[in-house]
Amino acid sequence: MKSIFVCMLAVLILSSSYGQSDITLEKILHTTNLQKTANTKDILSTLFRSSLDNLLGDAHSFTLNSTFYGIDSIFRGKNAHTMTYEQERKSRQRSFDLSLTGDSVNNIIKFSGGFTISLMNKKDITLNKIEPSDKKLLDKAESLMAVLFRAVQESITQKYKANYTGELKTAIKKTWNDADQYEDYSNLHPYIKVALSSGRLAVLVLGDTTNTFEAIEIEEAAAALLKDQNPAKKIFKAIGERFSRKALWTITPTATYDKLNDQGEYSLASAFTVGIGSNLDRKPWELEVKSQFRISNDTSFQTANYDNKPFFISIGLNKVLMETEDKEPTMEFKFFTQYDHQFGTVPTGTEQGVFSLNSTLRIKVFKSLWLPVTIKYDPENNNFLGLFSITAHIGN
Amino acid sequence: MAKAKKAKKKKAVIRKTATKKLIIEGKFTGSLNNQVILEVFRSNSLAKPYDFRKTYTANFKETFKDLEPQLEYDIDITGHTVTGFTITMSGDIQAPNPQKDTIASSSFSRGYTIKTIK
Repeated sequence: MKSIFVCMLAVLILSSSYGQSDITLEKILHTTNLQKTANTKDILSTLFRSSLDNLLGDAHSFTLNSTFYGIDSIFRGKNAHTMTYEQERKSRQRSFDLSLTGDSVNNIIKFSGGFTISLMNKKDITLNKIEPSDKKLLDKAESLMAVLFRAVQESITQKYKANYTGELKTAIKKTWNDADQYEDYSNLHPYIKVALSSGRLAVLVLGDTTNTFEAIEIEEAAAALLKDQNPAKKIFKAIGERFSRKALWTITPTATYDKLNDQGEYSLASAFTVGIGSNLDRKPWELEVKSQFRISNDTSFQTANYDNKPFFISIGLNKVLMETEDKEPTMEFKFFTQYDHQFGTVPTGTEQGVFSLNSTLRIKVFKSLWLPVTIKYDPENNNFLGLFSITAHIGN
Repeated sequence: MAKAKKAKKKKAVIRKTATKKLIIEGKFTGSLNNQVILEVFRSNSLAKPYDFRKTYTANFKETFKDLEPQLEYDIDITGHTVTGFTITMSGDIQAPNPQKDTIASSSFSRGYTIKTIK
């Protein structure tokens, strides 16, 4: 049985590489998910999420979550019709969850299946319209880019008329396209660089009767590109980040088969998270509230029973400590307090309700592979408990 | 009279067959928060200039039937998508035909050149 978990670990690590290298998935969701925290992706997967939890403890578990959109993207043919808004919304808002739990010698003792349904998901930019004021700003910046690029080409054509054609023209345009794709304008063709710095662009644009831009706007946009900054991309990223800080609320009903006791277990969980603060220059903070109620076997009895009824509620703050230039989190720290209450039979010598102080440090170690380490502290009994997991957010 | 009419008709047919067709198709992966400005042009400083500009917020297919043979045309697309966008250019154009590009979720500005056939 141990081999099963070893295989799952290998699958998890390999799949984390796949998540970033699969071009289709990456292209579909790149910016949408880039700025979401790993903490958020743990609540509702973007495409797929797999994890091995409690690696150093007695009972390990392997979990696989996939949104219906994720499953569909695997089996969907290339020429399939585009999903309607409603189909897409539904398939992204729900995930299918599967879990296997093994004992200390990795014998599988529990199988779980459930769904995560989002009751509120304002984070997903593919499901919620961009605010009109943001859209106006973005549209204007993009119109400016269109006008600027056209003027650059006009300027080159006027200067090099006979030479600016065929392969040379294609090669020059390729440097523009590459710069746009990789957001690196340092390798623009010298003809484009000269045009951007010539000061002639504003003259060309203002000569067009349909033009709505002022000379200073053209000059500033041209100067920004030469400094490796694209104003339209900057606005687009800011909009994406504002979305990533909006609210998400999910509920998760789960049914589990307890193989040892030959009986079922049932749970209902809720998770809510929302970004705090509107200053996009600061690394994001998130407020998180989680709760779960479970009905399961009380192991102090030899027969099948449902006397174990634990409930917990936790409130915490998640902070992004490190991120890439694209605001993609690479290290997060969460501090949260948790109250656990036993509604069923309380074993002798244990408390009915326990407060604990907890923290989770998540470190992105490789592509989409994260190592979350949770430390739980019970202040009343002065107990520390460490939980070590490995998680992959596949498809970014 | 009939002869002149016939000659005129023949001339019209020749003109009709002389112009070349370009088809530009744009497909967004998702259905929300998409926009693209399509420009098809040929500089005013060159012979037979051309100018077309239109904005789309959903999938589109635009057919141009009035392009001159063996001439280069510029095709620019500028806009944004929160999912993905694929542009395909085909018709009476020289290789590569079709010309295709896929753009990931971003604010983008790309340019292509096509040359019509004889």
